[in-house]
This record gives sequence, C-alpha cells and structure tokens, in this order.
Amino acid sequence: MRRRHGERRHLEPPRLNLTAMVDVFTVLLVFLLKSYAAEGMLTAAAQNLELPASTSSVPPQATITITISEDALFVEDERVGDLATLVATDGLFVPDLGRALKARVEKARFIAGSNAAVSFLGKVTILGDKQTPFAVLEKVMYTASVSEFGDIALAVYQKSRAG
Amino acid sequence: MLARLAHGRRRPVADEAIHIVALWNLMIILIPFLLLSAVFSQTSIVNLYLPPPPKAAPGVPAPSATPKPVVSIVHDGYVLSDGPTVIGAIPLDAEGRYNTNKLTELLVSIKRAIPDRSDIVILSEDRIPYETIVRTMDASREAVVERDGRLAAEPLFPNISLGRIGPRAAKPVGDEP
Repeated sequence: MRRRHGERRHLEPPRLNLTAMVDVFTVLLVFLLKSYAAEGMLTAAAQNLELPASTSSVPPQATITITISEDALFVEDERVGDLATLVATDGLFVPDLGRALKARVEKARFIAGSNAAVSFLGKVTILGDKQTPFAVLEKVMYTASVSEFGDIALAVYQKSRAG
Repeated sequence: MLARLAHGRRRPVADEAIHIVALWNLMIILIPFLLLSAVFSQTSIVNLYLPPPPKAAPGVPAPSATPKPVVSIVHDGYVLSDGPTVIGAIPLDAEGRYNTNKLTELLVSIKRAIPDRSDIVILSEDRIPYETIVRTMDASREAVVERDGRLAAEPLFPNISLGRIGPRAAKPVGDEP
C-alpha cells in the first residue's frame, strides 16, 4: 500500500478560504441591487407615516402622490399644510391642496403640450397614515377629484392573504 | 501510474490565491448600504372606482337595474344595505374589531344573487380610521375560498367607491365634477 497523496510533508501557513463567503455575498449583492432598482416608485416621504396593510397586489404606478402623515399634508415632497388646518377647514375643498395640485396639472399640461408622448392622465396616489380619519381622507379625495385628478389610488402595504 | 501523473501535475505554484481584495472591499461597502436602504415591505395600491356619470351617452346601455350593495361602516359595526333596504347588520366582534370575515360571508351570498355586478359603495362615518376602510375594501374586493385544497381568491366586488354617512349628502367621491 502506497502512502496517500494528500498527506503533507511540511506545514504551510493556513490560508483563510473565503470562496464560499464571496459566493454568498455576490448572490446577496445581486439580489439587493435588484430590489434596490425595483423599488423607488413609491417612497414614504414623511416621517411618522404608516400605510395600512391590504391584500391587494396591484403594483404601484409612478404618479403624483399626496401624502397624509400624522400631522401634515404633502404633494410629492412639498408640504402644503398642517392636518389641523385641514380638519378645521369648512367644506370639502382644501384650498392649499387644491392650489398645489393645480400647479401640477398646469405643469403636466405644459409638458404634454410640447411632447406628444406624454399626456396628462389625472392619476394620483394617496399615501395615508393608517390612523387618518375618513373625514380627512374625504376632503383630500374631494379636492383631488375637483382638481382634475379623478383617478385615485390608495397606497397600501402588501400583506399575504393568510395574515 | 495515472494517479502519480495527476499528482505530478499539481506542482505548487507560487501564489494560488485569487486576488479578491478589491471585490471584497466593494462588497463590504455595498452590502451594508444596500441592506440599510432595502425596503422589505412591498407597497401596492388599491384603485378606487369612479362610477360612470348618471347621464350615459346614447347607445351606451343603461347601468344594470339591480341596486348595488352598500356597506356602511358605523361606529359599532357594519350595516349592509341594498339601495334603500337594509340586508343585515354585523356588530363588532368580541375583541371590538370590525368583523370582516362575516362581511365577506354575507357579500359572497349577495354576489351569488347578482353575479353580474362588480361595484360596491363603502360609506364611512367621519371618525372611521383609514385602516378600517382599507380592511373593509379588502373584505369586499375578494373572498378567499378553498379550491382543490388550495386557497384562491375569488373576486366579489372589485369596483369600490367610497362615500360618507353624515349630515352632508352621502355620495360617492367619483361623482364630483
């Protein structure tokens, strides 16, 4: 019986074998980069905002967003007023929000006027905190639909059906 | 013989290690960054349905005559009605939460009676939180049924309009100009 080939004659300094770890990291890196590129359509602009959970699986679209946080109202990233003022407003129309939306409509119309590939669809996504009372939501939705944003979608966190 | 040849081929090379230092640095930086910014909760949307204007253009068939179901969310439960007639009331459950399962059950039976209708109106009181409304919309949109041993979603009334109960006229949001 001959001596086994693998037997070492002398000891070499041990070398850390990182190949497996590099494999894992590469996969993780690709996965994270992919999810990084996929999200970004809807980002919660405001702090203290928690969307409600829903079983809906309709993917979000890139539209103008109205954010109702716990204490303020935003159109895209622009703060258009406090929630307290909105609650105190008489009637359903919220003038500050209406003005901000009107500006977006005009901008969108202007772009659509010079670029045939773009058209104004009147779509808006509402990101509302889950504790928002319906009275506030109603005012926001009313103002949006009066300001030519008739196609309203509500943003939610997706949850599984079993949950 | 063959084995010895194979062994002989593996002559020790000066440095066998792959140079991965640069790749390694990149990963060390990128992975924490991406992990921090990764959003693990997926967002989706719920579309609101806009009822067609009452005065339909000529040639367009009139909306079906069967009255559409209306779910009213009041402070102590759901009231399900069918136009002017009240079909049933669902009180809060033992834990003080809205009983969406019961609502879905009731809507399934209604859907069986009017299979061609897919629109529903959800009316809420002023104080009802948004989350409750979304849960109600979930319950009205689809029912989870077991089919062939697997859970599947069956559409109930996916076209949802929102409205309010209260002193002001209760009308769906989409009816505005």
